Amino acid sequence: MLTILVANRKGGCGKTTIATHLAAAFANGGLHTALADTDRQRSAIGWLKRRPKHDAKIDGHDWTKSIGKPPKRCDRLVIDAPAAMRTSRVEDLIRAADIVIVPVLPSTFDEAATARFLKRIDALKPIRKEKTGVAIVGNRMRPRTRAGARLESFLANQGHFVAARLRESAIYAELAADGRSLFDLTTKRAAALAEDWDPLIAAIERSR
Amino acid sequence: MTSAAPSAPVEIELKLATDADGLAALSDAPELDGQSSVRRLDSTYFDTRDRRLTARGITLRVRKIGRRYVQTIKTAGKGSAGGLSTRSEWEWPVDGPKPDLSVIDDHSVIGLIGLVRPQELQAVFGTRVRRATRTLEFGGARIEVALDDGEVVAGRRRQPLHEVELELLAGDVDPLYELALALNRRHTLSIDPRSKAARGEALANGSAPQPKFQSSIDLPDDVTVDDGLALILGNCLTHWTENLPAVREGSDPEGIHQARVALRRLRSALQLFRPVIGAAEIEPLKHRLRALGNAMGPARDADVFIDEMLGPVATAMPQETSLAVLKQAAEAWRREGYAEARMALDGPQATEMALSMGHWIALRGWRQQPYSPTVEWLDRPMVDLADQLLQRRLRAVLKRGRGFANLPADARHEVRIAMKKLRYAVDFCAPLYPSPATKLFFKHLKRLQSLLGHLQDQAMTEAALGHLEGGGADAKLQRAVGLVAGWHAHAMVDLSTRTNAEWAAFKSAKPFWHV
Ligand SMILES: Nc1ncnc2c1ncn2[C@@H]1O[C@H](COP(=O)(O)OP(=O)(O)O)[C@@H](O)[C@H]1O
Ligand SMILES: [Mg+2]
Repeated sequence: MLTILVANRKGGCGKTTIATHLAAAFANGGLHTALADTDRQRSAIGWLKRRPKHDAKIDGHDWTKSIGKPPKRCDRLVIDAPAAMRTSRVEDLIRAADIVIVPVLPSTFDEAATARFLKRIDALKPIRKEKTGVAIVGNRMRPRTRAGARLESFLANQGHFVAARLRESAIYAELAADGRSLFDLTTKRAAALAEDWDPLIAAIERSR
Repeated sequence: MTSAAPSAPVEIELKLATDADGLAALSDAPELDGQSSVRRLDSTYFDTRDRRLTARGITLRVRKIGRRYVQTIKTAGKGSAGGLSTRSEWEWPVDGPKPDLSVIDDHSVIGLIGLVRPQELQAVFGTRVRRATRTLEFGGARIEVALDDGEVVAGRRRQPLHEVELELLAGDVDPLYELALALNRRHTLSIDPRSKAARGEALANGSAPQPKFQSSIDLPDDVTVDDGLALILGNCLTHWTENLPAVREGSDPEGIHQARVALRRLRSALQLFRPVIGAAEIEPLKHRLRALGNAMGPARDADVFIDEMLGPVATAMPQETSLAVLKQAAEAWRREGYAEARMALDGPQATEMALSMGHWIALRGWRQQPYSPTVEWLDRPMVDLADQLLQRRLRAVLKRGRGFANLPADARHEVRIAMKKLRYAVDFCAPLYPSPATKLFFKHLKRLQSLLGHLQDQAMTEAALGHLEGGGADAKLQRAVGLVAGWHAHAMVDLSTRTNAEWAAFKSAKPFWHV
């Protein structure tokens, strides 16, 4: 089993969008997939409830009260972390994870807060010892904007790089409302947008 | 984290390499009598750009057979001992030349591959083969014999490919080996442990075959002597066959060194377990191993001499021109040594050794001896036997090392040899005792052994210098020989105190097999 944790202290940066999309990508690839929601807002669980029956199956786990046991017979476990979380709990989750995905919005991102968050994760033992990888995702990127370039150079200064860049698109809000993902669609438009995810999926799969 | 190994159709085959002439001769061989059918097989191998499939030991290929396309997935083989490979293999028909992972219906394969997005897959290399196959009934088994004539192609690079594959369709592996041995008596065959995929991958990367270090022996702690022997000997034999490509084509002297280490491990394993294997089984095998080991001796000696003996002196005295003369003589000696080693490894004895050894291990030759009380050992836990063997070898070391600090050089040689035997016993048996005490004991053992090893290097240097000096006519050469000999004789004086201290530390290390 490969455990993927999606985390960032900031709300609205795309954690749930990324967690649900990754889960759907794995499930569509035929892998036994579980999605664990640790956020009291339960948005990942809500998404699963809205998910059409005929779409690839994902097992939902409510971890909002306490962190549960890793599910049995599961190939990929995706954990959606809440914005505000106690350090000790974040650390527990990171210890359980093989890779931590950190979404960052170039438009509204707060350099000081992101730097603090990255520094804190980098200091954790499993990450320091490179047992757990960190992949940063630039989310809602508009190509060739100054904000995007600034984000990249800022991350490089922190010793990190952007593993994937997800374009801004209204389709994400629609999909969220339907309990679906780009990977459940067969349209050309969806396929084109889904390509943004390839480097992230490759980075996750390499961490095995 | 990895998924559990899938239960899949397993392919058991012996693969031997040959050349164009060898292949032509084989197609007329009386042993391979029978109707053969010829097919063209063009295969393309795929992977992601970050080579995730290769990293997981998976090969994915689409093969064109006539007008059909077949997609095949194979997992990494469990060793290549004696040319035998056993791999899991799955096949699906596909619509065209591109792979289609969505047709995979077996969840164990999906779990192994993980998520690969279709557009991630790209062609890495291909093989173009003319395959003549026939099915034989041989010694009670049904065997498919495939003679492959073709090439591996990666971009603009290409490499000829001439192989014989013997695949077991029904029956025991015994006749599979018998057939291979019979063919080897009349044809030029060699063991190449690399799959077509591994060769293509190397060609695509432009990399020469690399030396392989021994892999750890997976001995479950409740393994029986019988199963343990098969695992240990199989591990040593794989170590040998896996280094053959590096010896033949590689430029790294480590290849020859590893091949030689592997041979020595094989011999030592036979020697260590002699009480249960039986002397009658061992002698013919040991004889073959010794002959090959001797053929590789000069190459290895020259490597050690140039890198470890001459090297430091030449670095310390860059202006000393006589050393360059000696180096030249040593290089010539090394070239001869390599030529001799390569010849032995390409010859029929090397293939014969690997096949007979593989055969013997597969058959569990040690089970063939007449009944005696020692035979009963075979079904007992390996750890019980290991306790005794380790203890015996430790006792031999301690006995020879009594009064160590005052021992003369020749007595220290005796200690060194006993240490080496203990070292092999520990190497083979340590997996049965996973504990910090094992690591600690091993650490002390290795330290002492490496210091005592200088004794041997010293003796070898003397022999090498004698050999290189020739008649002693060349004054420069003589001067250089004197310099190198003096340098290392002095170093030995220095080592002596350190060796005494390590001996004391080793003696007080707790033997890990005493619980
Ligand atoms: N790449 C994107 N393009 C457009 N909208 C996005 C994108 N990613 C996320 N969103 C939207 O941003 C909002 C916040 O995303 P969400 O995944 O819920 O963030 P978080 O879980 O971090 O709070 C949602 O309305 C979501 O649909
Ligand atoms: Mg959320």
